[in-house]
Parts: sequence; C-alpha cells; structure tokens
Amino acid sequence: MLHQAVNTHHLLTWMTFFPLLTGLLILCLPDRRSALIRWAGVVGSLVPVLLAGYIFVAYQDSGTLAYVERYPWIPMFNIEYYMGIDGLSASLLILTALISFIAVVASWGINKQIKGYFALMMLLETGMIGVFCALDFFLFYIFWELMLLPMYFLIGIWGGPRREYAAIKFFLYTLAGSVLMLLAMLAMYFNSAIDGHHSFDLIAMSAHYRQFEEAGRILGFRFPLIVFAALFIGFAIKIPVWPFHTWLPDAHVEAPTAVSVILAGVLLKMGGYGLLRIGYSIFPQAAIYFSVPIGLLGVGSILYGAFCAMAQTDLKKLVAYSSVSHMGYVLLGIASLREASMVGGVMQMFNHGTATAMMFLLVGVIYDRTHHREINGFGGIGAVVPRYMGVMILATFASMGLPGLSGFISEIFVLLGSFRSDIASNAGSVWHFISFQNITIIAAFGVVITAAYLLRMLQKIFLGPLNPKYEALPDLNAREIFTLVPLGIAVLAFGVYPMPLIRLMGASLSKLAGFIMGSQM
Amino acid sequence: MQQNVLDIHYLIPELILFCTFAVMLAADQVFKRGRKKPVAVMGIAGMGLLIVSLWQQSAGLAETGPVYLFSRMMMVDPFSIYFKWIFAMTTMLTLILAMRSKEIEKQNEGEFYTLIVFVCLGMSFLCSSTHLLMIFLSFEMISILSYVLAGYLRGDPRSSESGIKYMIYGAFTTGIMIYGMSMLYGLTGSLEFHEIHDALQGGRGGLVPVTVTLLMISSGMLFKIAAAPFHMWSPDVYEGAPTVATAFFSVGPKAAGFAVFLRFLLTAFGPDTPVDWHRIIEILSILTMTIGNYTALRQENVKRMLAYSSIAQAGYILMGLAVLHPDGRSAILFYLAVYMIMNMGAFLVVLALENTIKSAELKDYRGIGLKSPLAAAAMVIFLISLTGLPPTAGFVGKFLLFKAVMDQKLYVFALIGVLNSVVSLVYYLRVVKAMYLEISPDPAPAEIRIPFTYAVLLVILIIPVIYLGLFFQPMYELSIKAVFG
Repeated sequence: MLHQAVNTHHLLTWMTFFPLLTGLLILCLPDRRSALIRWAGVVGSLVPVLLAGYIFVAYQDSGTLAYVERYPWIPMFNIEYYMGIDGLSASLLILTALISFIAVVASWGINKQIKGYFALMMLLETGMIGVFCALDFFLFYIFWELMLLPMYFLIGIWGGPRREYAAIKFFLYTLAGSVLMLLAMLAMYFNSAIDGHHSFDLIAMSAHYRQFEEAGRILGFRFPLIVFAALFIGFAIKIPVWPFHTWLPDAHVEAPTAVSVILAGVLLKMGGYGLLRIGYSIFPQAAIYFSVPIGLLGVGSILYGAFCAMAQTDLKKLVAYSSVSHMGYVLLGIASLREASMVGGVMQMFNHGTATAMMFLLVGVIYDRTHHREINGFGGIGAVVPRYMGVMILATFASMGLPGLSGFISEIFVLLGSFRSDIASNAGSVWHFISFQNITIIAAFGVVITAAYLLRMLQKIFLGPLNPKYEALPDLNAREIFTLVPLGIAVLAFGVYPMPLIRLMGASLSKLAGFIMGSQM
Repeated sequence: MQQNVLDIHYLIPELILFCTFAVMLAADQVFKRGRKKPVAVMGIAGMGLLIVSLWQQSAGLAETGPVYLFSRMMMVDPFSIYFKWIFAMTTMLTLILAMRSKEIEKQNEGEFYTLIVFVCLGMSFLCSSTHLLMIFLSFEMISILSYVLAGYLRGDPRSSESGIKYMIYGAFTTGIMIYGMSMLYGLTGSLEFHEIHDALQGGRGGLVPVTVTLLMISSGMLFKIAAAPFHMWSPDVYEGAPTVATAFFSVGPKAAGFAVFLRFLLTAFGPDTPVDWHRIIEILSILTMTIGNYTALRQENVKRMLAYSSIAQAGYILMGLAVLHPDGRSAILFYLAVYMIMNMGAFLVVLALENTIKSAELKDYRGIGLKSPLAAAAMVIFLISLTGLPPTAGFVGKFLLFKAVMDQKLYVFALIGVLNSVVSLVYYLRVVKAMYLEISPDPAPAEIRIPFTYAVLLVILIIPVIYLGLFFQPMYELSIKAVFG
C-alpha cells in the first residue's frame, strides 16, 4: 500500500459533491421560485470554481499526487474511494469548474422546467469533476456513467428540433464505448495483483504495469494490446476521434447553448484524459505499439474535421466539426509520446476548452437574437455589433492558432514534439515504414484549412454589405460579457505567457513520457 | 417415520404460509364484497411473520448446517431461505399493489390475495425440493394457480386468452419435463438428486440419453423463467393478465424457477458429470438475451415491452449459471433480489398510471414527466437500473455477473452480454423519451394523481435501488453465504 499524505480538508470531495448537494436542494425548492433556483445553481457551481482557483494558485505539479483522499469503499473487491489529482488532471479539473460555472450563468435564459434543468446541470457537474479526481477505476467508471443520463435529458428536453435523435445517439455511442471499458476494467482487475490482491487502483496498476504483460492472451491477442484497444475505442468515442465522431455534430447542433459549451469544453476532454490516465499510464508498451495508428487517427480527425467544417453553412455545426479537428491535435500530441507534444496535447485540451466554449457561447448569443445560425444569412453585422465581433475574432483566432493566443502555443507544442518523435521507428512496431515526421507534415496542413474555414465564416458574418434585417441587432449584454470575459482572459493570458498552465502539468507529463519510453524492452 | 414427524419443526415457515392462507380463505367469506382489504392486510402480516421466522431459522441453521427433510424430499439450507425471503418480499409487495389496483377491485379481490399467498407456498416448496417428485408437485402448485391469476379478469377476453395460453404452454412443457423425469429415473434408478448425481458420475445412462433427458427436464424450468426457446408465452400472458399478476409472474415464479434450476443442475448434474451442461446454458443465455432485447425494441405497449425485457433479464441471469464457479451463483442470487426490487418498481409505475389513464400503451405515456413527476422519475430510476447503469443496484448486479464471466475468461460471452445491454438501452429509453421528451397531445388531465400507498412504496423501492448501487457489500455477502452455506 502506497502511503500518501492524506488531505484532511477533503478539498476534492467538496468540489465533487457540492454541486450534487445543491442539485438535491434545488429539487426541494418550489417550482415558482425561478430566480432562487437559478441563484442556487450559480452558488452550486461557484464553490467548485473558488476551490479550483485555490488549486490553480497553490498547486505546483511535481509528478506526484496531491489532495489525496483514500478510504475503503467495497473492501471485498478492494474498491476504494480514492481521489487525487496530478498534472494530468489538475488543469482539466480547473477547466471543468470554470466551464460549468459559465454554463450555469449562460443558462439564465432557460425558461422551461428550470428546476429540472439546474438540478441536472448540478448532477452533470458532479460527474465531470468526479471523473477528473477519481483514481480508482471503479469510482472513475461510476462518475463516467453518471454524466450520461443528465446529458441525455439536457439535450433531449431543452434541445433543438431534432433533439430526441441527437440525445439517444449521444447516449448509445457513449454507452457502447463504456461497456467496452467495463470489460477492460474487469480484465485488468483479474490480472492485477497489488500486494497479492486484485485491485482497481489506477496508480498502483501503473506502477505494476509489467504484470499485465504476463497475463494470458485474450482471443489470441496479447493482453495489453487488446485491453488497450478496448479502452481506446471507449475513449475515442468520447474525444471524438474520426471515425467515431458522428454523434458529435448532432449532439452539438441540437443541444442548448450551455450544454454545447459543457460538451465541447469538458466532455470531450474526458476521452483524452482517460486515455492518458488509464490507457497510456498502464499499458505503455501498447501505447508505443499503437503510436502510429493513433497518430494517423489524429491526423485523420484533424483533416476530416477541418474539411467537414469547411462545407458547413450552419455556424454551430461548423464549430462542432472544428472541435473534431482540434481534438485531433490532442490525439496526435499524445500519440507521438514526446514530452513536448504530450504537454501540447493536454494544453490543447485546455485551450480548446476555453476557445470553443467562447465560440459556442457566441453562437448562442447570435441565435438568441436572430433565431437562425445560417452563416450566409447574416452579412455585414460587424458594424452593428462591434463588441460581439471583437470577441468572436478573439475566439476564432485563438482556435486558428494565431501566435499570441493560446491555441498557437498548444498546437506548436504538438507539432514540434511530434515532428521530432522517432517512436515510429522503434522495434516491435509493425508501422515502421511511416514516420511521425510525415504524419506531422500532413497534420500541419490542418492549420491552413482551419484558417480558411474560420476566416470565411468571419467574412460572411461580419464583413460585406449589411443585411438590412439586422440593422438594429443588439450588442452583447452584461451577462453575456460576464460569461465571455473569464474565457477571453484565459485565451489571451495563456497565449502570451503559458507558464502557469505548463506548471500545472509539466512534471507529470514529462514523467509519463519518460515512463512510457522506459518501458521498452 | 418418527424422524419425519420431527422434521415438521423445520417447516415452520411453510406452516405459517399455510395458516395465513387458511385464515385469509376464511376471512374472505366473512368480509363483504368491496370491503376485502383486511384480507390483504392479513396476508401482508403473514408475510411479515414469515420473514421473521425465516430469520430465526437461518440463525438456527448456522449451528446445525443444512438439513434434509422427509427422507431427502426437501432440504432446508441458506440457499432456500434466501429464496424464501425473496418470495416473501415479492408476495408482500404484490399484495400491497393489489390492494390499490382498480382492475382487481372489480373482481372478487379476496380470492386474488389468497391465491397469491398460496403460490408463495408453492414457490417455497419448489426452492427447497431435492427430489424430482417434489419438484413436480410444487411446480404444478405454482402453475395451476398462475393460470387462474392470469385469467383473473372475468369478462376481459385478453385476460382469458392470457390464462388459456399460459395453461397450454405450461401443460405442454410440464408434460415434457415429467417425461424427462421418468426417463432420468429409468437411467439412474432414482428420483433423488444426490443418488442421480452418483449414478451419473458413475457413467450410468450414456451421454446422449442423459443429455436428451436433461434438455427435456430443463424445458419445464426454462418455461418458468421465460428463457428461450420457451419464452413465447410470456409477452401475451404479461400483456393480458392483470398488471398486478404480471408484476408477480415476472419476479416470483421466475425466481422460483431459477432456484430449482440451479439446484437441479448443480446437485443432480454438478460440474463433474459427463454432460457439459454449462455449454448448453451458455448458448441458451445468449439466445435468450438477444431474442428478448431485439424483440423488445419494437413494442408499443409498456407491459409487453417489460415482458420482453424480463426475458432478456433471464438471459443475463443465466450467464451466472453458465460459469461453473460459485461466484456466478452468488451473482445470480444478488441479481434476483435486485431484479425483484427494480422490476416490481417498474410494474408499480405501470400500475399506478394504468389506474388513471387506463392504458399501458407507450403513446399514452407522452408527457407523463410533467403530469406525474414522482412516478416518471421513479420509472427512470428503475429503467436505468434494469439497463445496468451506475449508480444503481442493477449496475452492481450486472457488474457481478460480468465479473464472474470474465473471471472464467469467457470473453466473447461477456462481450455479447455487454453489447446486449447497450441494445436494451434503446427500448428502456423509449419509455423515458415518451415521458419526458414528448408532449402529450391531450393536455387534460394536467396532473395524474397516484394513490398515496403507491407513492410511498415507490420511494421505498427507490432507496434500495440507489443504496445497493453504491454500497453492495453486505447484500453480496448475504448471497455468498446463501451459496456456500
């Protein structure tokens, strides 16, 4: 048993379960008190933000776990209530708290069944924060599945015209992925022996990863490879990686604004996080073995997402496909197994979270006012809504990867790292005829296509002759600005000076990269 | 002979059941039509007494170990006591459900309560039988009364159809079963499980005849648990029978069928006889869950959908039998207890709504989420639990079953199982979708009131569904104890 300093303040527990408690409280409030319900929601999501702020200031990644809480839960199966964070999760945890808070504020305009809406939002937040804190696979799985039902309802009840279809598609895709994860979890449990017992402890499994190599073959495949593949499919659906991405455009287009923000800002990151925390940390050799196909899937996502985005005329769908494209960088960064590229990958998750959340908020703003999202239906509104245009340009340029904004830093880290990766030529890989250099060169074209579709979008909406319908379009109001400012600051600040972000993750990722490279036979 | 008289002492639970039955039968004559509720209350009290006496018996058994009764006709062991607990709870819940059911109220309700209690007696005999004759007797005791319960709504052609269908299928499969029993007697020279086992282990009978006999006897039991290929009766019977009876059939006789199937296979055949019966069970399990799930997808009636869902559930439960390891058995026992709670819960919602909207059609469920928040929310929790999503008891049940399967390295089997639960999500969600995502075309009634008893019962059933989803160790230890004695 590893002995870690137990944090007596239960910081992560409070952060995880405070929203749930608020949600239960909301359920007890009378339906008519809509203002009270909204404020309860704000408080429920503000507390995690404050705690996340504390973590941001106080936490310095040293490659070890922090804020650990560990109690036996189901002793007969060695299931523990084991919470803690390290560099893999710290930045994403902070992102989750921030995005959830912003989403709650952005939900102010919801008028239909508010009680249910905010209660589900709170439940969703508990699930999301829990995923990033859980270090026991069973606990992780519970939190992971906990998000499905609220998400289904949030899309299905408060969504757009095709909401029923989008909601069930989301639910089914994710569940199909997570049942594979369940089997992988059980296979790992039965083949682990930590201090003579089977275990769900992710950290200990990572430390004893060699025992999985000796485990018996499954269906003729080596144990680490097939279990890694099952996990990968589960997480790839969530990221989503092309070709598992088809649920995403539907879900995004139909979801209400705040839910899209959460979906793009947080949910997609869980796939990437899970891949690092479970897949890469426990099966390093499988990570090396599969590095090229995963890198190729990453490039596939980058290009496919970008080309699809180019063909869209619906603004929200364009942003949705741009998410597929941007998450491809995450995958490429992780796959190439260099320290720089992995830091870039995790940073890309954070930066995509902030920039795309802004984009979705802005799409919601314009949709609230005009009731459509057709890119060709605007024209020249830049002169009418200058503040809106300013913020939109900031968000767009950030996701385009313009130097000085956050997207640039993470993309350049990914590309630089993966360009220099020589992992593909490693012994044991059947893919040695493809090098990461080639992959990276192809991936770099994604940047150009991204610029093309985003600039075209900006041009069609803001420039040119003014569409007379929108002469009196109101600009951003105070609440909208309030939701956008924190994200804007993050985009600018981490673009100019990314060190605070790197400080949250650098040591752990460098340790992980070294660990994976060191696992080679 | 004297020993047999002394054995009566171990029959106290059954005697309590019988006395309850007798008292209820008499009371039914005393109370006037339309005022028969006290009869049900007596039944509920009797069940309470039964649970207490089972508790005592289980404490006593801890010292003596399992006991054979009546020249090895029956056995009292933790296994049978566990099942009797399930039966007692099921019967108790059914009686409470029946008390507020408008369907039953129109008929002679007193008889209904009384019959349910008598079925419970049959089930508790069945789960303790260790002798083929005893099995047949208690089997018929359950079956004949079940036919009556299914056709209980006199004047409703659907209910009569349901009763007749149940009877014809039942008679047919029981006929095959008893034919198989006689053949097994011919092959092994005994009707008692242990002697059959010893004979089979000694290689008596030959592989092919014994396998055929096994299949024949299994047909009756597969009929009871509604597993493929003997599942066809269940959708029609479930749809036509009074909803209370359906709720009862989907849990009580099914659990009893599992009890006897487990005991028969594991004691009479066991892991060390030449017949590879667990392979057969594996195939049946896959067939059952796949047929149940895929047919459920297209159902427009919630009762019928739940019938197919309970076929699929039987398939999952059979997974635990297909693995020879005792872990599989304790997972089955855990799952059956959980299944009782969640399935009774789902039927309770159907019943509560049926009292008001007079329908169990999916299209009439539209907009229920707003009209009856408690019933709809409860339904979501029960259906999520039936799907097997955390944090519910159904998830833990499935987790334990899959765990047992994975432990035996039956990876393809496990994969088919989990993919089936993804399929099941589709039809369970159709109900959720109708209730919450769709709007009722008929705004009146603005609110559907459910009886206070039902509301309380719903909350009582939700609590264990969530609690066992998070803290399942004590309950699982109980089911392990029931398997290992």
